[in-house]
Amino acid sequence: MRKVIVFSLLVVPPLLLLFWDSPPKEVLVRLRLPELLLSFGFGGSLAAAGGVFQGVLKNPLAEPYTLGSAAGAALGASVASVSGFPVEWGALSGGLGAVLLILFAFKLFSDPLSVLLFGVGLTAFFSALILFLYALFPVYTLQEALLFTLGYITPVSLTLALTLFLLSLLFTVFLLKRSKSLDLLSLGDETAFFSGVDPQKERLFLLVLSSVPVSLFVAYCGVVGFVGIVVPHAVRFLGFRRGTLLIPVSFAVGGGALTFSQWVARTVLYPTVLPAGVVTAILGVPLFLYILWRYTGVRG
Amino acid sequence: MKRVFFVFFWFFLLSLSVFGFDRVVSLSPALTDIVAYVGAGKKLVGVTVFCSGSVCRGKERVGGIVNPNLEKIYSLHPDLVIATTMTPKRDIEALKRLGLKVLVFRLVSLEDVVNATGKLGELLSGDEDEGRELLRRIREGALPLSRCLKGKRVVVVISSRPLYVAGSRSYLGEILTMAGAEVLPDTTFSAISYEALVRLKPDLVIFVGRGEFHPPGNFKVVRVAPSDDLLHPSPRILRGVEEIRRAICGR
Amino acid sequence: MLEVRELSYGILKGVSFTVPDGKIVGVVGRNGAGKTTLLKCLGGFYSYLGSVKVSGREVRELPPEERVKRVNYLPQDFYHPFPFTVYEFLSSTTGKRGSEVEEVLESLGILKFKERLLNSLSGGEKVKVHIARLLLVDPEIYLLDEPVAYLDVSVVPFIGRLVRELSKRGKTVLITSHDVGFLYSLCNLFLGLREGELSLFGDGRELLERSREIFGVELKAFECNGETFIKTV
Repeated sequence: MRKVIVFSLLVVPPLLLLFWDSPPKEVLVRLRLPELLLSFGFGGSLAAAGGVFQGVLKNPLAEPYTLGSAAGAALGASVASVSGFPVEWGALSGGLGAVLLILFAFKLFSDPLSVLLFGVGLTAFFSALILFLYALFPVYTLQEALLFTLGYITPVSLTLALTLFLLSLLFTVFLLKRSKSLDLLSLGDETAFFSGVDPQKERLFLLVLSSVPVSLFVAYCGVVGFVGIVVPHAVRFLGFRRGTLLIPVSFAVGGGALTFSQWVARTVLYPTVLPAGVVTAILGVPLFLYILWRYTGVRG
Repeated sequence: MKRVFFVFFWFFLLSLSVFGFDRVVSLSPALTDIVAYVGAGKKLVGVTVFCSGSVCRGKERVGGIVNPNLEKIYSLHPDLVIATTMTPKRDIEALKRLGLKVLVFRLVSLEDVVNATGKLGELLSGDEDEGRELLRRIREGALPLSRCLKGKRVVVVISSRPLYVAGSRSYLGEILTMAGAEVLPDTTFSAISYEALVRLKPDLVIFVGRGEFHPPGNFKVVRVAPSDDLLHPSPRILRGVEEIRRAICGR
Repeated sequence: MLEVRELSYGILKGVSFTVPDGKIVGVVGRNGAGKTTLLKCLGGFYSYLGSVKVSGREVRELPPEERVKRVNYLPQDFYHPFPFTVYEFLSSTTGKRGSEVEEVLESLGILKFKERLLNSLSGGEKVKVHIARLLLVDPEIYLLDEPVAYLDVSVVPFIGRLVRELSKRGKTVLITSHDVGFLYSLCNLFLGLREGELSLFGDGRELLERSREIFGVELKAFECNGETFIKTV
């Protein structure tokens, strides 16, 4: 049963995105295929990273969006694009810089809620800096900055989309090789240490590995929220609890979820195109609140 | 050999002007106005969701200015897509990858509007003088304004909340400068504070925005009903200038 | 053999002692005296100053796979926000599977929880699951941090029997607890900490004699029907 659910989440959204309205071949190859690769790879990376962030920080509400590493990547990409550097490098340094800040907060604060609030602050700060930057350089319009902070997927060239997609797959395989550490860290640093892994090192390693593909996608699609938080919980709920299953299934379901959101974003108000991040927020926030309620209930 | 080449070249140019650009998609309401002005409105096959004029009646809608629907545009098989710098580069590039011809215009200063009009006139109706003609008509329209604006310090407010002004380097500011006004501040379009507005010490504030505007100082405010005639950087400004004249010089 | 020389970390200041194999050591002290810190240092969890040697090898320098088999630790923190079944927990922490896991669960009387989610268990049941992890690893030195804090009285003697069996097999066990009576009846050696300094290392008689120094109150032992009770005076 659960395999059927995962399989349909994996297959139906891509088919919908590709073949809805039976597009001409040119549109299929040059617009929809890159769009699918972008949204599936981005959604998959976000969900896998969400699972990793939650596990290694032992925080059910963690993901690149809530903790500010996605916003960091977006800021880095914006800085790079106004100063003429490649956006990928900007996004990578922004995203990984934010990861270091998160690790610092994790050491500083002992409870998950404080770390989460730190992330909320970080996100607000980075988003404000992005808007400031766009106000500073009038070549960029404010609407563009808004779309960027809301997660707006525009098809890129097929080569670029394919490269990004393959990179996201590659990094998911790297994560998969480290899945044992993810399981152990999610049981607490002490249990992890006394089961033979170095918690500090593995945490840094896993956070960096999962943030690289997310940052690269953010450079092209902006910040998309709630996929990273909702999908791993849903996947665990379906019984894929251990890293060896959690990571690949999250990637598949997250990819399907963002692909579906992008399809909705393009279809629901046709011909107006919505930012995909708006759709994921509308669909994801109720589930997010449910998770919040459930976990505070368990702890209290 | 050279002669053969020239024959081909001329034939190529001719074929361009005769057969080229019959299906145009516009990603900007102002550009749509320009196309209508140069008499090529029926060549438009796609316009944005914001277009409300008669030229857009019955035309396909292709999404917004910053979020156009690329598939919809492609499905109309346009031979030319025109956009402003407001449309994100990524969308422009995606359209080019689809093999579409895309022209991007900057529409901020009067010169921009005139050049765009000239270029689109040349491309779509074969008339190279549309731009110069437009500039002449705008000058003509601005002249009667000088009676009531000459030597006055003027600020053009296009939104009160936040306070957003069209400065001396915007098309609106340049037209008022033609009429002898001293337009402030020296900018294109920008958000300024109410305090900055007071410090500019304007003799006259022209408010063309929607909603309320409570002037923060003791200066004269003239309201001009906000309309696309004023806010589109396009030939509609001709009517806009007339609206300003009626509001300021009045009766 | 566990040899500790001039161990300092956090509140701990220059702690030195030696425990021969097979001893059961009760680690006592008031709240914040450094009991948990000491146990974690002995396991190599913190980068301490000084030296902690297990069978002649420095704990911090052991490769992780070997370290966990020499010395292992029962944590106090049982917050598990993510769903894991008991079996999944034990197999991913120890690498052991199948009948081996089941036998240990059976010996602790929690085989019925094998497929239950860890975060649906009660505090006492969680402690047992964590003890099962230690038994599966079966290190030379067991560090048990408050093993009876969450358990109801019916289970406490069971833990006592378990620890005695370990000691009989030549394992060294260090236990912290606020239940001095429980430790008094179980341990051969006592290690008293006072504000991070070693203030006692000796047998039960010494513990009672120096109790005022360690706890701030005097403790006395009473015999009743062959059982020993500890009371504050």
